[in-house]
Amino acid sequence: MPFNYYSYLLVLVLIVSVFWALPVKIRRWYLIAVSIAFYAAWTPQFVFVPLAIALGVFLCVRELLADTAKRLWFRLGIVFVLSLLIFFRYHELLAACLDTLFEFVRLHPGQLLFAVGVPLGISFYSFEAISFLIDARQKRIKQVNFSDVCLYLMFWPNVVSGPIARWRELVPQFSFNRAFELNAFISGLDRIVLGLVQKNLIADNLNSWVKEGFLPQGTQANTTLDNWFLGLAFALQIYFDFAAYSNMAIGTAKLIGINLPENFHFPYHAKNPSDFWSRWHMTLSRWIRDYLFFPVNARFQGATLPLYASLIGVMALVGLWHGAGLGFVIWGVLHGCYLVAYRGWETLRSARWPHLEKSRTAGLAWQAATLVAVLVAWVPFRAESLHQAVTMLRSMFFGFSFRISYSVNFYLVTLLVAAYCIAEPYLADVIAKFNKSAIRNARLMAANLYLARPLVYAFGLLLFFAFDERNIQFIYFQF
Amino acid sequence: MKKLGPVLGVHLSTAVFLVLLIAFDPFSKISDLLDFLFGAPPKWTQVQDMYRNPETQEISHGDDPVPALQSLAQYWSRHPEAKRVLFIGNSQMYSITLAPGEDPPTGPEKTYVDLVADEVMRAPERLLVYRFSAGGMSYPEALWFIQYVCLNPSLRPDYVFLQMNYQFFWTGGIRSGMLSMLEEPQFREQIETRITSGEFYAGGFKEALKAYQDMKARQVSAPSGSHGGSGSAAASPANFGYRLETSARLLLDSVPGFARRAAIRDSFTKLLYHARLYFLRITPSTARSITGARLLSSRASIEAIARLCNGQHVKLVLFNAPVNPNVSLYRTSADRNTYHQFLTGITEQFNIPLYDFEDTVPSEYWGSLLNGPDPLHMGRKGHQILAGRILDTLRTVTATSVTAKGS
Repeated sequence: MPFNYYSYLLVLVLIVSVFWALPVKIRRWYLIAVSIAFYAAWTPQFVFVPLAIALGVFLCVRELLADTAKRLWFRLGIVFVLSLLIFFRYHELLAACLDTLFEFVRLHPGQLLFAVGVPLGISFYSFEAISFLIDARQKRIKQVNFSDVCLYLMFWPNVVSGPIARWRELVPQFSFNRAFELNAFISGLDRIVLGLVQKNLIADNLNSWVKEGFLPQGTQANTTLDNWFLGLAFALQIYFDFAAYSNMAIGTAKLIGINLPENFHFPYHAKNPSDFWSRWHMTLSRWIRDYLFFPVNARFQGATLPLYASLIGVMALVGLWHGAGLGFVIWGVLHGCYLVAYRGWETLRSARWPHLEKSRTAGLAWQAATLVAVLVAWVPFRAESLHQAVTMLRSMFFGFSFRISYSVNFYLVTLLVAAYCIAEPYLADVIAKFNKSAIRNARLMAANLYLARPLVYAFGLLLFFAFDERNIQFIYFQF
Repeated sequence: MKKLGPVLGVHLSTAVFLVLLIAFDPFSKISDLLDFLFGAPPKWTQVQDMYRNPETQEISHGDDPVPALQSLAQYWSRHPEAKRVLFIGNSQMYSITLAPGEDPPTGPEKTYVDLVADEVMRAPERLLVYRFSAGGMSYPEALWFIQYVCLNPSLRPDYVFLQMNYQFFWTGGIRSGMLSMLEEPQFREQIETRITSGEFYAGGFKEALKAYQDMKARQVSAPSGSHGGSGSAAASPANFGYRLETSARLLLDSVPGFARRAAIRDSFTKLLYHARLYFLRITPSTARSITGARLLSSRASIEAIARLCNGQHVKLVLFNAPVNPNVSLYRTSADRNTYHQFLTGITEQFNIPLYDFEDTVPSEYWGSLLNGPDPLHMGRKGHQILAGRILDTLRTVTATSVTAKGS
């Protein structure tokens, strides 16, 4: 069930109530059962996939912990997880390749593969499984039991679309011996309501405009202004859609006293491309950094050219992680190039113009350039084809035309959402300050708890119900 | 257990506030306040009590046309001797904004199509008039509708009067209410053929077909991920979660007041619209250009309508809708030329008559929309004037047609 389903919200009340009513010993098993039921409610035929991965990596890690010299178990685990990931995630590409390969004998073995679906969240829990194997290999994990592995990989708040948690930040919390904390509970509710509004009011409203603007037939008729706005609208849509999911996942976990890692930190306020990746899909970027980029780069001992090549290569893989589409790879390569450009600039600046380190103008220029570059990269990511992406990008940079082709509401709504996006960190600051001062004053705290917050929740729920579009899935469900 | 009190308190307060907000509808109250502060005309000038007749109007305004068309087919079948005239257009056909000096309504008001329908019913040569109009209708929607009625002999019109309007070109897509027309397998097939045509409207049709398929999948509790592609796990059948959600929705819909969420959405959208008008001064009459995908899609749709009507021996008549002389919808004179050249071009290309009523209704017969002149919706007298002009046209067109057939 997606988090913005009415049934999910109703069931969540029940799940959380029962959780806190249960004795501590049973809670782990209860959550495993809930997580399996949650996954099965969606795709019962694939529930064996995360369970199989859990069992596979558990057996490998158990052997590995018994003797860390047994690299075979580590390799076996990695190959097992990657094979399942590649098979399920890229089977359509494999099918197409097989069909091409056997075309000369007029056989189409790929057709059989096309019928295979994609288990929800496989990209996410596979990465968790790999990080678990690597951490065990690097002796960061001392002991392991199957129920921990099972809950770690299938924990229902983050199984479908992350955040990608690490073993050491999630599993120690599975002792469930923490007492109920009202503040954590309220903070969980905050995140859930915020996520509901972000999804239904913001992301889904942009969806219809973006969908129309990216229709292949109309692309060539879009003006420069249309395409910039479409890039901006999609950038905002994907951010609010994914941030909404992450907020609801984090909020759900908080209701049962579990802290999941953060996934977003106002990414469009990034000061440079490197900063963007420390704010956007943070759990994926740190995974890539720690488990891919650092080990690869360590082999080259920081040499410049291999460093740049590995940056681009790693980012291309990040693109490929989203799916077997050229648009995703181009998106990744573009981000790799941005990172290389920024690193190149930093090297040059520190050597020749060290005084520019604190230059406000240079900082602003990088911030603006980063935002523009990120918008540009979203175009191939969202475009239906390479041809469409090229057409749109060409119109964005050459042959300027500033007429508007769509309803004026599209441009205004996009600007309104962009304005909210700009104001977001400042609003968060104000709310945090208010919460702090409310804690110190008992009357203010009561007013906050029983009046201000419920009013905000009710307002958020009103907007959530009013703008409910059952049919619009979370974008990251496809990855 | 000590913490249970605050948790229950928060939930209870939230529930109480939610009920109050649903009952109070704050967005509509803020809209009303803005209207008051900015001196909007009284609400009664936007006539609410409109004449309704399912034999001459598609009364759902595109929200659910299939049942309306089923009863139309029965009605028209009872009058096989009569010629059928179908009017297609936007909200101008079903709305009245009273002009200054016009009295408040005392009963159901009739628009020009209703007045024309009344007149032709009295005429000796039987003509049956039917109106299909929807707010912000797009030309792909007009094509969609005409394609549907041409399929069924008991719905096929003899004449189609298609409203031309500059604003019409700003809209696109197929509204969800019209998706149920795809239930008809033959119609669905024709839409699929149009999708493969590669015409500019094909993308919108494809999206509509996909939305319909999603809707069907939902009805059998087998969801389809909108982004999931063919192999999406979310598209799996026998999905318990989806069935549970359906039950939850049915349950919540039975809660009094919950069904008001659609009205709340409308009032929120209206509030944004009023804010746009009052604070940004971007009104429906703010001049703008037509360009891009929607223009191409509209053009392609009108051309397809012309071809379809030719092929089905349906006489297509284009009429350029009246526009309030107090406003200029065209941003530049080039926009006006482009629009008029397109109209002329299409009439020449397909040999279709075009009647230009753009300047038919004088400025004093137009009302105000919030803080500015209403560009599209006329007052009572405006509708009467236009009805007269349309009647003249109808007589000319039908007589010409009869003569042509007789010869």
